[in-house]
Amino acid sequence: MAIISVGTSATTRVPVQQLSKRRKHSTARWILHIVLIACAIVMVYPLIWMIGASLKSDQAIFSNNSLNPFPANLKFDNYVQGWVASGTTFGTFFLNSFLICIGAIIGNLISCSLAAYAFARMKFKLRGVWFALMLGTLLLPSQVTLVPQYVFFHALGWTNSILPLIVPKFFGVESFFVFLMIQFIRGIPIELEQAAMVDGASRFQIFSRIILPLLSPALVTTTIFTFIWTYNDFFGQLIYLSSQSKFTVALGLQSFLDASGESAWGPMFAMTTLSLVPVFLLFVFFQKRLIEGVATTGLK
Amino acid sequence: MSDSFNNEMTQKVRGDLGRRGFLFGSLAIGTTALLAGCSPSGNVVTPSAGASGFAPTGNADLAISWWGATDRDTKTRALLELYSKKNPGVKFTPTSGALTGYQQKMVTEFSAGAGKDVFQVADARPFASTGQFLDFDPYIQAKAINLTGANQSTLDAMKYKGKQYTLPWGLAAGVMFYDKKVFNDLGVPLPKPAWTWDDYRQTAKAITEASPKGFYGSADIWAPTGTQAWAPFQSFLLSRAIQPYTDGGQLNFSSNELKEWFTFWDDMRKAGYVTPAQITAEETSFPTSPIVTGKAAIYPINSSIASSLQGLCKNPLGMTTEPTGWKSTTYLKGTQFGQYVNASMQIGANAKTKYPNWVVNFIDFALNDPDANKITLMSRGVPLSPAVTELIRPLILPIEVDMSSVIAFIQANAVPNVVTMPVADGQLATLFQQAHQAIAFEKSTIDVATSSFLSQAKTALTGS
Amino acid sequence: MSGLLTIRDLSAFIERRPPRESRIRKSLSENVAGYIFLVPWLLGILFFVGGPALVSLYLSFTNFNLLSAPKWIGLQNYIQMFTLDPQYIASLGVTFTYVLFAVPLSLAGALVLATVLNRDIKGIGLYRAIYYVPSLLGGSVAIAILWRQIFGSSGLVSKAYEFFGLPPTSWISTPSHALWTLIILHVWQFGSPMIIFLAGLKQIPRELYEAAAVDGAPRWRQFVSITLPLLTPIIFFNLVLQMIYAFQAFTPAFVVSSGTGGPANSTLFYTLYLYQQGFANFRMGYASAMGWILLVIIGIFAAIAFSTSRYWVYYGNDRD
Repeated sequence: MAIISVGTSATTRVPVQQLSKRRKHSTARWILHIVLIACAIVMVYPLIWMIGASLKSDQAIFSNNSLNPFPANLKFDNYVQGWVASGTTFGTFFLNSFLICIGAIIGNLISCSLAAYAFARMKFKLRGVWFALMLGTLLLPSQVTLVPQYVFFHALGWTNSILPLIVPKFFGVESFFVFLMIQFIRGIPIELEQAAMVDGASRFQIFSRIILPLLSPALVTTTIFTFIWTYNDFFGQLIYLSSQSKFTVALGLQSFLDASGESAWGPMFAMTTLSLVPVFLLFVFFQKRLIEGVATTGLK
Repeated sequence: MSDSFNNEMTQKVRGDLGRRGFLFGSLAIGTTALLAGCSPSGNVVTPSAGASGFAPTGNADLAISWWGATDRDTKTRALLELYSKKNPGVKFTPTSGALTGYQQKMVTEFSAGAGKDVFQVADARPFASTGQFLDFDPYIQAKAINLTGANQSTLDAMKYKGKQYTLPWGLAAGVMFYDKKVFNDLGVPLPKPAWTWDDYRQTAKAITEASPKGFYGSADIWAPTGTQAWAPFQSFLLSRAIQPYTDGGQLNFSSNELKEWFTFWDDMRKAGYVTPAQITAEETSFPTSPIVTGKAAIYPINSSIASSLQGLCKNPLGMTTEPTGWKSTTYLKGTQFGQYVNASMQIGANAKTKYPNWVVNFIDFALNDPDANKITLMSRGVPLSPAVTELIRPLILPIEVDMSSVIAFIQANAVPNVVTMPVADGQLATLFQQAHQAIAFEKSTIDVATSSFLSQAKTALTGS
Repeated sequence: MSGLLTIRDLSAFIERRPPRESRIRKSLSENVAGYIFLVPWLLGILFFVGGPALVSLYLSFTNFNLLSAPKWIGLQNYIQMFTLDPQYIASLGVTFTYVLFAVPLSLAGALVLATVLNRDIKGIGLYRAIYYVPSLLGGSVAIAILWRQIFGSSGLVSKAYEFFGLPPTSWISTPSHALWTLIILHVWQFGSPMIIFLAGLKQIPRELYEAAAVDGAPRWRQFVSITLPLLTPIIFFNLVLQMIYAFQAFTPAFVVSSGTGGPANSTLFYTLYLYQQGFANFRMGYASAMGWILLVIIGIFAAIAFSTSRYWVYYGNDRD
């Protein structure tokens, strides 16, 4: 189908005259591993350091030994302190974040699949124009629509609520996912739908019974990326959520930083680490899908 | 977020009184000074619940918001608990947070019709001018809010078009904190209450020269989101009998004053008497200021953070007035004192609140109740009521004792400058910071920064 | 590989001659059905994208502070931006510098790593995952906070300076270095384009490499003559997307500089300044004008990329 698997490679037979080369390859391979490991350590070092810092006391964080990420004594009360520090607990923040993410996911799944099916399979007047427009919105910087959207939501009385962050998703505004799904649908053999139409199925039945199940890889990818992007959508949350009780994890972290004036290092790192956990867990469980999902957007 | 409003540091809210206010003000100053000298200790004002016609009844759920660091936060929550205990049936929904963005959030909430019932506020003008705040005058007249002994000119300074829309939740002024231990260790004489800028320079010099490398006499007058230089600059103007703005809302000073000011600070920085640019830029708020991180001994900022700042510093702190009398050997009284007492934190109420009587009662409680003030102490500055100040004097930190005497000194010697500030004043504060930074990081010369500031200020003042 | 969209496909689609789809009867009911499916999207375009874009164009010619009605002022916002606003010019400079360095550096890193990781050795999946993780986490406030700490006055970098006997230096509070902390942050997140490069590398037939090896061409020569040319469409794709994304960067600059764009405007990203003007100073007309200029800038760069692409992007034949 349309998924590129990144794990395959063809095998080759090795002619005799290449055996000595093979030995050289062995050493080269070891060097490669060492370099790769070294670079990998450099890449994740900041994260490891932060996790370590969240378990250290404040003095230990800033002591002479601070480059060493591993704490001498594990201190878990940074997590306890940080959890309740700003008056509202991080529990509320996590709840708010998840609420918004779930809303956005449902919205995207429904609206983007509908639009994608229309673009991919159906013929209607001006289809080309709308399609070009959809692609164009990929290029549009969000800052252009920012102010009027804000004024619009403000006039509706939706500022300081999560509605501006969820409702638009039910209207297919994320062209990235529409495009992704179009690609997948085009990979589905048309014969299936034709057969169903001959049997007298309506368009909607074809959509829900045939297309959607076959679209599931794209739906999963959409879910995952919507979650990540919504979870990290600091800007949108910043301008639409002003009461602390409605804050998301990102806003909670930011206000934590402001209020404590960075004097509470341990708790700050603890909460920072905690805020990365959901996305990281998502990654661990859906690693293959994620990477595949990114790869399928590789267009020529 | 641009700190177009940074009230924690130094802000003067100016009412709209004109010349009549001047006379009235100086009269009030004299009387208050007299009263302050002999405030009877046992005469504590108790909350006047049930004052004629405004007795609160029924239950209430009050949304309240404020900004502040942990110290003020804890004390305020305890205050709310106490009030709820004394008035079961009244619940609070508190929101607290940082100063950055607070004003913007308030504007957003109010314009969406979702303003809180009662709140701490820095700049009340946008709301007062559109009728969003509750007018306290009827309540004050009926003594539902008791203001006995309060400094009338301070109250007048925050009136809008003659109406009292906010009350001071703590008296404050622009001051300088200093590290007592460093001064004593180095044998440098402590600053006097009314010292001149030249005294300040000499003191900073003495500290720097007696300290090891890496320690400086004073923090610089600017910082990214911490101290702001615009207010001290305005004090400097006033000490020269120059108003910052004309009646038409345009700038009333020229490049000469700017250059003098910038040159003073540039020389201080180059000589090493104030912190170098990089260290000043590390301050994102007072917890990361040089006095807390142990790099400087003097710190110019608004007095209201006294207890919070002391909580972060290992060494005992002292407080003194901001220097005055530029290039004069004695300080100047009256309006040329430059500084004056104001309230950086005001308390206000929503005109559309469902519980106006409860809100007013709570405000009266917060300002006057002995038990309440024994909890909040001076976490927002000196209490409005001199009687309350006397009452809590045994309970406060040494730095807060300093603070009340500094405030009293200023009240005795200064006359508030009451002039309406244009709406773009906050933007000018940001532009002023930019100018300071450009000079300190040596990205532009003083002349270039000055002319750049003047042209941008003009644009901001006419454009908005 | 079926399912991949080629440029040829794209233009054919727009001209309504999609290849390989069998003829479906055009009919009125088909039109109606199509539009019914499209209704949510159409509403979205109207209310949340197209409509706001047009309104924003209108607002850009006004003075609007949210509390009172917009006041028409013609081109004043645009004129002010370019002639009377040094901060605006500074933000342009900062943003261009950022894009100029962050995008090529991260793509170069992505390409190199993708080439290295394009082999079937043990644990390759783990390596790919590790290099991808920063990209996943990087857009968050958490990472920006971490970055501020690492490059701050008491952070790791400062300690490293001390280790080498130099005075402790905070990159965050030094104007000449502050932007580099953000560039490094972007480059750190090369995992996403790396995966895309990997997918592209997989598509290059091994026979080409084998043939070249038989001819005696060294590795690097193979890379330059085979890999790079065949990868150009993907490089192009990554380049354009990364560039668009980089121009709109906000969160790292906001968190690392505490919203000030400092020190001395050295991290004043375009979007950060837009936010300051629109949401801190409530100058929404001005902010709208800034948004449109950004669109024009991105459009110009995209147009340059597309028009020069025919000189260096090699599409070759449709491979299935």
